[in-house]
Amino acid sequence: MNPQKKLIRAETYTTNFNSRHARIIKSKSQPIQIDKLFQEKPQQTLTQSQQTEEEDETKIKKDKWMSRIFKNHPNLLEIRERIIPITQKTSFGKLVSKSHTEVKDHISRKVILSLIMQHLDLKGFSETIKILESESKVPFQKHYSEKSRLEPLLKLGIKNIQSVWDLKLETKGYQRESEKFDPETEINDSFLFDEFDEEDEDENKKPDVDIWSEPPTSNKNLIWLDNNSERKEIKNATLNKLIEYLTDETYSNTSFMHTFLMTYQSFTTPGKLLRKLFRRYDVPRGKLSEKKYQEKKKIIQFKVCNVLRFWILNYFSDFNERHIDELQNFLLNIETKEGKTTTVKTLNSILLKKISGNTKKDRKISYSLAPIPIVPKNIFSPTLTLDSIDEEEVARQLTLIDFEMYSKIKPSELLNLAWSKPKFKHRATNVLKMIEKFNEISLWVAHTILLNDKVKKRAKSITRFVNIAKYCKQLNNLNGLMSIYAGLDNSAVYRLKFTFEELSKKTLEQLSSFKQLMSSSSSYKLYRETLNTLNPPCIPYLGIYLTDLTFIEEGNKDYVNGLVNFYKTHLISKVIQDVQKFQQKRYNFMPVIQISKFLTNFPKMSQDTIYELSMKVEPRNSSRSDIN
Amino acid sequence: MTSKFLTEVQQKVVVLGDFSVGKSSLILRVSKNEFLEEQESTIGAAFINFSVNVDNKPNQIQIWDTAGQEKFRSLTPIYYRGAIGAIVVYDVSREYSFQTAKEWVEELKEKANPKLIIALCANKIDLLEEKKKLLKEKEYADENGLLIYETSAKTGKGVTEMFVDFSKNLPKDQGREIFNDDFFEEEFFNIELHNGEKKTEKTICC
Repeated sequence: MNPQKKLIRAETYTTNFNSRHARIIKSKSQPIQIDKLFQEKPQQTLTQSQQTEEEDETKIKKDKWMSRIFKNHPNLLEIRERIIPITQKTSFGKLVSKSHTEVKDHISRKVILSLIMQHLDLKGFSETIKILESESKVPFQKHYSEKSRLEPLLKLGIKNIQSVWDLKLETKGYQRESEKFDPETEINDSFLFDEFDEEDEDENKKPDVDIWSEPPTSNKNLIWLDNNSERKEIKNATLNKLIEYLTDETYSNTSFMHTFLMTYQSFTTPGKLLRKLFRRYDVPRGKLSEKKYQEKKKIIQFKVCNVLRFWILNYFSDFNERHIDELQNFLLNIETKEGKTTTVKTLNSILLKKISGNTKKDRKISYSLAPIPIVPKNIFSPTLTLDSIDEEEVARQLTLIDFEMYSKIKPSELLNLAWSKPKFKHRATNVLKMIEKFNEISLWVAHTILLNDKVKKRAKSITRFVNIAKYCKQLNNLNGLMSIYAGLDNSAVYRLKFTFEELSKKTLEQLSSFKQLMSSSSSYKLYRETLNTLNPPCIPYLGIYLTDLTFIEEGNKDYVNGLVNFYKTHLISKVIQDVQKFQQKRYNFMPVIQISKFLTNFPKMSQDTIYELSMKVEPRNSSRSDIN
Repeated sequence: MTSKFLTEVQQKVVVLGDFSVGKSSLILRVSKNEFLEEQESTIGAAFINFSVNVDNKPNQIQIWDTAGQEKFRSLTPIYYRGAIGAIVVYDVSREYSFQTAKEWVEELKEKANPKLIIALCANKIDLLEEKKKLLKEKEYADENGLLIYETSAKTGKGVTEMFVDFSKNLPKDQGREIFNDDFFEEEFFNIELHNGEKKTEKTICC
C-alpha cells in the first residue's frame, strides 16, 4: 500500500463516520497520523487480547497486522474491499494526474490532502486541519466553493463499485446509455482541471499573439458578416480582434458583448480571456501624443472594466479560485498605480459580494397573491395518497419542480454539446439533471399506471395522468406535458389494448392532441409554432433546443481560415437566448411539500421491470375475459 | 381517407444511434451535399424530405433525426413508432458504438413495428484502415436481416447512395395496414397532411 491509497481510505472512513472520527481526534488531542490510522486499532486489540506474540508487538509484520485487523474488525475489511476499485480505477487517477508521464492510477498526495482539508473545512474541523497541515507539510488553502469536492470524487468511485457489489442494481433499461462504461474519462469536478482546461488547442486555430502585437484589421484577421449593413456584425475573427472589438474606443455594441460573454467558452477559456483583458488594459504609448494617448487609454480602460463588470455580474460561475485571485491582483495593481478610482471600487465591491455569495438574486417579486393550493382535508395525514390530490394541483407542483431545474441551466451548459460529451459533463449538470428527471417522471407515470391490477383502475389512472398533462399544458409547462405523455406512450402502457378500450372519447382525443403537439414531424413544426404563441412563465421542452444546437455545432466549423467562426457562436447564442427567455419569469404558486414529495421521492424503476409488469397484467395474446 | 391521401403520405424513416456517431452529419451531408463547408447551416434542418421513384411511382419519404436528444430515453419509442424504416448508425472507429447499435436493433426488433425495415450504417469509414472489411458487422446484419451500408459523412462517400437505396427497399404505398395495431396513427397522418410544407427539401430522382 502506498500513502495515496491509504489516504483515500482514511478519508472514506471519515466521510462515512464523520462525527465519530472527529470526536476520536479531538478527545485524543494528539496529532492524527493518517498513515497510521489502520495501525491504531490492532495495537488496541493486541493489548486487549494479550496474545502470545505480545513481545513482538513493535516488530510485528505488516501483513500479519492487516490480517488480524480484518479478522477482528470485519467492518474495516469491508471498507477496504469496497474502496479498492476507487483507488485502482485508472480514469479516476487520470482525473488529477497533471501530466501523462505521471503514474496514472494515483492522485497526487498533495491534491488528496487539499481535497480532504477542504472537506474538513466545510465540516468545521479546523483543529484537524491544523494537525493535518503540520503532519503533511501541505499548507491549507481556503477555497470559495460551498461544496465538498471530495464527495463527488468518492461517489464517482463508489458508483463504479456498486455495479460489482450490488447485484440488484439495474444495468438495463433507460440508464444504459449514460451509466454504462464510458469510453472516455469522466470528469465531474472541473476545478481539478485548471491546467487541462487551458490546453484545448484546435489545429485550425491561428497561433496566439499578444493583443497589442495583433496586426491591423484586414481580411486576414477579421471578416464582417455584411459589409453594407449599417450595423456591423463580425463573421470570423481572431480572438484578439474579437477582444479589440469588445473594448473598441469608438464603437459600442452591447449585444455583441452579451453574445460574446455568453459563448466565449466555445473558443477560449475564462483564464485566457481574463489575461487578454488585463493585457488590453495596459495600453501602450506608441507614437501617440500625450493628450491622445491619455484619451485612448481612458476609454479602453473604461471599456475593459465595463466588460469585467458585466462578466462578473452575469457569469460569475465562470471563475474559479485562481481566476478570482488573478482578478483581485489585477484590481490591487490598478489601485496602487492609480489610486482608488470609482471603477476599481465598483469592481471590487461587486467581486466581494459575489465571493461571499451575498447577492440576492434580483428575482422579480410577484405582487399578486399565489392562488390558494387545492389540497384535500387529509393533507397532513400520513395516509395521504396521490390519488386524492386535485389534478391541477399536481400539475402546479410538478411545474414548480420543473421550473426550478430549468431556471438553473447556464449558457455554458449548452456550448460545445457539453451534455453529450463525457469530457464536458461537469459543465452541463443542470441540463443532465433535467433530462434525468424527465425520464424518471415518464417511468414513474408508466409504473403508477401498471401498479393497478384491474383494467378499470388502470384506465382511471391513465385518465388522471392525461388530465394532469392537460393542466401542465394550461400552465405552459411543455416539459412536464411531454414527460407525462412519454410515460403514457411508454411501450409498456401503450400495449395495454384492453385498458385503452375503457378510456373515454374525450381522454383519447386529449391524448391524440398531445401527440400532435409533440410530434417531431417537420422538425417539431407544430410545437415550435405553439411555443411562439406562449407567454412566460413557460417551461419549454429542452430536447428541441439540444437538437438545434447539435445541428448548428455539427454543421458549422469552429474556425474558418484560422479565425474564430463567430457567426456560429452567434447562431448558438440565439438558441441560448431562447432558453433564457423563459428562465426569467417564475411561476407564482405555493409549494406544497406533502404533494411534491410524491413527485420527487419515488422508487426508480427500469424499463424492463415496467415491461414485465405490463406483460403480467395483460399477457400477450390474452383475450378480454382473461383479464381482471 | 381517400386513396389520394394515401399516396401523398410521407413515409417516416428514423435515424438512431449513439452520441457523436455522425447522425446529424449524415443528414447535413444529404441536405446540403456538403460536410462542414463554410456556408452557414440553417437551424432546424433536422429532417429531409425525399422522393424516390420506384417502378415509376414516387415514394415520399421523410427522414427524422433527433440528434442531441439521445439522453431523453423515454421519448425514443414515440420517436420510432409509426416509422417504416430505421437507420441505425454507428462509428466504425469506436467499437463501443457498435455495441450500442446492436442494442438499438434489439430494441427495435422487440418493441417496434414488426415490419420495420432496419439498416445498419457503418459511418466514418474514412477512418477505417483499407484492409478491414467489417466482417463481423456484415455477419451480424445477415443474421438479423438488416441492410448494411458503409458511409463517410466527411467525404460524402456512400451517403446519398444509402438514402436512395434504403428508400427503394421500403414498401411502397404502405397504407395503413401496417399500423393496424396503432390506433393513434390516423391522427399521425393528419399531422403530416397539415404540415406538408417542407423546410429543407431534397428531391432525388432515380
